[in-house]
Order: sequence, then structure tokens, then C-alpha cells
Amino acid sequence: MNFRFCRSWEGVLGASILMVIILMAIFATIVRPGDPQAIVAAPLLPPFTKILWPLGTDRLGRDILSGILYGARISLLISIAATVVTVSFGTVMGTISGFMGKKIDEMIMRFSEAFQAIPGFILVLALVAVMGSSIFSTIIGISATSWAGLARIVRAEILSLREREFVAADRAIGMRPFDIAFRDVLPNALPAVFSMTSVIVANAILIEAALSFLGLSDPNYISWGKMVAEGRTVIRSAPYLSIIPGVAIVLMVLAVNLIGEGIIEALNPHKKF
Amino acid sequence: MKRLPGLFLRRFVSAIPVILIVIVALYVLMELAPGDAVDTYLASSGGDSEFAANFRRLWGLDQGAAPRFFAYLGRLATLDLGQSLIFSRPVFDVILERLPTTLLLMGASIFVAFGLGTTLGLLAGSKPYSPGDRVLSLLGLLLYAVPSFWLGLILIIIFSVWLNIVPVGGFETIASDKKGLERIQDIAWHLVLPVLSLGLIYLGLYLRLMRSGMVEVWRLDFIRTAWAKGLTQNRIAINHVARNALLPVITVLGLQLGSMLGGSVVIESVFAIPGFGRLAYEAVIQRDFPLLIGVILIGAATVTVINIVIDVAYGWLDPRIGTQQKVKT
Repeated sequence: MNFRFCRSWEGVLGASILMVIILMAIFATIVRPGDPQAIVAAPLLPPFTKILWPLGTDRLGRDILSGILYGARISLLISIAATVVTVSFGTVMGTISGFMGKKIDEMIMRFSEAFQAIPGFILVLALVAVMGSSIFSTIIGISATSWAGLARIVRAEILSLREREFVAADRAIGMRPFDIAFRDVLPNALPAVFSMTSVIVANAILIEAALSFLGLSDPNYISWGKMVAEGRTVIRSAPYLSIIPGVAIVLMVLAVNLIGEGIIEALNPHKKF
Repeated sequence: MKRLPGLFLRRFVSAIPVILIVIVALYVLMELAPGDAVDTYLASSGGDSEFAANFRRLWGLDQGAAPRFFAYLGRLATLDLGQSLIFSRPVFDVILERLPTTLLLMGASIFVAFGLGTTLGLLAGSKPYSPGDRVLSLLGLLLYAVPSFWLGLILIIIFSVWLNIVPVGGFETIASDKKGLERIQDIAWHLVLPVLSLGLIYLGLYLRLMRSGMVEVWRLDFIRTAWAKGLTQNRIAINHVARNALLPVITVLGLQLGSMLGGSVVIESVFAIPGFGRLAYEAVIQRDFPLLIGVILIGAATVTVINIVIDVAYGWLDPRIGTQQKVKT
């Protein structure tokens, strides 16, 4: 599968872009030490005019390159954390639902439908309003909107797996239902989870960006969405202030989607190389 | 029982517990929120503690959790969602005023996303792995990666700032006294960019779904039969492959409605459209919890109702659905 992944150009391109973004996040403090929100130069320097400030400065004179580098950290941190929470919670709920019989199944499914009925972004807004704007509330908000879809996919997978012979064999040797569900059935359902992951990550990046664009993310950290919003006030005279961070968001989401494509191509037995 | 009315009834009954769960969850959320409605109210108007106590008694906030919950349910039953703090008007009225604007925006966006998306997906999927397919697939992937608010700003920069052909924002020209056809034209002109921003994002999704669905169908046995009958590739693509690939795309359309209604929050903020999404944003920013609760509830109800309609329409398109006694959820 690794070999097949490397043969798909989508996967390779996506992985390369993502690698660059990860390197940006890692080396942000070395390339641009100090506070990324500090005023360092004259305001509104256009990009590609000064060697020192290659991407220019915003209307307060803050370095845009610093913002992009440090913004990569927040984007990565939040999307990874939100995906971990979503995948763990969604998988556990889906497994319990698919394996624990009618009543519990019915309850969890109604519960997940209720979460899906609430317009996703409005649910995030409500949770952030109640918990206050912080990295933690952003992660919880994103997870709250994404877990239900994953839980339903895992459940469907579990429902088809639980009728297989190996589950009957487990029962015959007297394994407890809990062990059967989490030790034997769930691992077989993981490929389905795996192929959903890139969608969840991409979604998390986009929600975080929208949240910070609306000024509802953690005020202590710079993020790409916030930079787009700040550039908006001078959109007529300095459109690059909104364009540059937006391109960063697009590239990151695109990278994740390309990796997802690569994984699907690699797992697809019909595709010949 | 007739098939379609039965299907409708079953979907309706199964939606009731879902809405109840949303109501209970919202009540818990309201309890968790720091301070109560009176605190928020006093923050804007001011008043001493006796004034606050009177207000709490008036709104029943001095009682325990259980009586308050049942009072809340009772009020909901009469469609009383409470009083909005920022508008000083009933929440239900404010929302009802804003909802049509957003439904119009969503309807037009779905038309762009679904109509254009499936058509482009059909073009891409009718010749999988051809150069044309590669370009369209890449376009879909790219659109799917663009944040809607950013696309909105880019469209504003191009079409409003540089070319100056469409208005920057708003729902219609303010105080223009336009009537009838002229007003419709004015609104349509204002909605071009918002509809494109919201629609193009989802267009990518439908393009990709349609295309990948078609790629799957091309491999099935009945397509070989169609080739054997001597049909042309175009004919097979449209009459056999596309028709079979379309049904799953409709399912996703229903699932995406909630997400699209959520997306309207961002788009309406970018384009300053006084709609439902903008209302949700205002409620959060100004900490108007009664309004926020109302927005979520009406949002969930809207999504649920449209989903029931889509399910019934789906059952009408696919005669296999709704014949079994129990629908698997």
C-alpha cells in the first residue's frame, strides 16, 4: 500500500505540500524569532519588494511571513487535535451502536441525528459562545460537528462485520461482547475510518479558518483566518493582505484532500499502475 | 398503507425524538452558559439587585431546574421562543423575518452547486481518466479546498473593486423604493456573488461525487450489455451510467443542507446580508442567548423538514424504497 501510495501523483503532491507546511510550523521560531504580532516595519509594504519582509507588512506594520509561519502552527495543532477527538469519540460511539443491541443503538443513532440536524457551523458558534473563545473550545466545537457522521459510517461497517464467521467463533470460545467489539470487529472496520480521516482534517482546517475569520478564535494566537479578516478592512488598497493567508489555507486543505485521494487510489484494487 | 404517505409518516415520527433531543441539549447548553438572561439584560440597561430579582421572578428564573424546563417546553409548544435581548422583540418573529432571505440564498446556491456540479461531474465521468476528466477533477478538488469566506472576498476584489459591475454587499439597494420586477432584479444582482461563493464551494463536492459514482458504474455488468447492444459511449454515459450514479448524490444533497445553512453564517457576514446566518452571528457576538437558542432550534427544524421532503422525493424516484415495513436508519 505504501508503494502504491507513492505511485499516485495526487498522494505525492499532497504529502509534499503538507510536509512544507509542517516544516514551516517547526522552524517558525528560527526563521522569525519573537512575537509574530509585533510591529516591525513600515505599514502596508507590498509583497516581493523588500528582502527583509518578502511577503510585505499589514496595515499596522506586522510581518506577513511571520503570520503565515505561526499561523501554520495553529492550523496544524487544531486540525490534528480535533481529528483525534472526532475519530476516537466517533469510532467508540459507532462501535457501541453497531454492536450493543437494539436499544442502545437506537439511542445513539437518535443522538447522532440530533447533532447532524443542527447546522454544523452554528453548533460550533454556540459552543464557542458558551465556553468562550479558546483553542480548547474551537477543538471541542469542531469535534461536536464531525463525530456523528463518522459514528454512522463506523456503525454501518460494524453491522456488516458482526455477522461474519470470526465473530461467531469469538462467541463460541466465550469472549465477552466488549472484547469482541473492540479487539476483533473494530480493527476490521478501521479502513473505513481511515478513508474518512482526510475529510475530517480538511473540514477542521476550514472550520477553524472560518471561526477565526469571524473573530471567534483564541485572541492570543495569530491564525490565517484572522489575517484574512484583518486584510478585509483595506481590501481596496491592499488586497494582498487577504489573498496571501487565503492561499495558505487553500494549499493546506488541498494537500490534505490530495493525500486522501492518494490513499483511496492506493486502496482501490481496480486501479492499475 | 400507501407507500409514499407511509414513508412520510415514518420519517416524520422518527424525527420527533431527534427534535426533542435537540431541545433538551439546548436547555442544558443554556444552563451551562455563564450568567442568565437577566444578567445579560442588565449588562446593557443597568439596574440594581432588587430590579434584577423582580425580573427573575417575572421570567420564572428564581425556580428550580425542573419547573423551569417544563415551563420552557410549555412555551415552545406555543412557538414562544422568548424575547430577543438585542432586538427587544419576540425571537420567533425576528427569525421568521430573516429566514426567507437565507432560504433564497441557499436555494440558488444549491441550484448552482447541484445543477452545475452534477453536469460537470457527468462530463468528467463519461470519459474517466481522459485529459478533460483530469482537468475537471482537479477543478473539483481545488474548489473543495477553498474557504467560502475567502472565495467571497476574492470575488468582491475582482467583480466589485476592479470591474465594478456588482454591488459589494447587502440584500438590496437601501431606500430605493423599487417595486415588483425592478426589485427582484435588484435583489438578484446583489445575490450573484454570495450565491457563487456558497455554490461554487459545494459544486466541487457534487462534481467529485458524480464523477466517482460514474467511474464505479462503468465497471458493472449491465454496461457491458449496453456496449454489446452497440450503443454509443455518450448514450451509455447519459442513459445508463449517469442515471445510476445520480441517486447517491441526492442523498448527500440532503446531508449537506445543514452544513450549507451553517455556511450561510460566514457568507452573510462577508456580504452583509441580513439573513438567518447573520442573525446567528449577531446572537453569538452580542451574547443574546434566547436568540441563539431560537436560531439553533429553527435551524435544526428547517434541516429536518427539508430532509423529510428529500427522503420522500427519493422514495418517489426509487420505487424500491419504502416498500419494506421498517426503514433502517
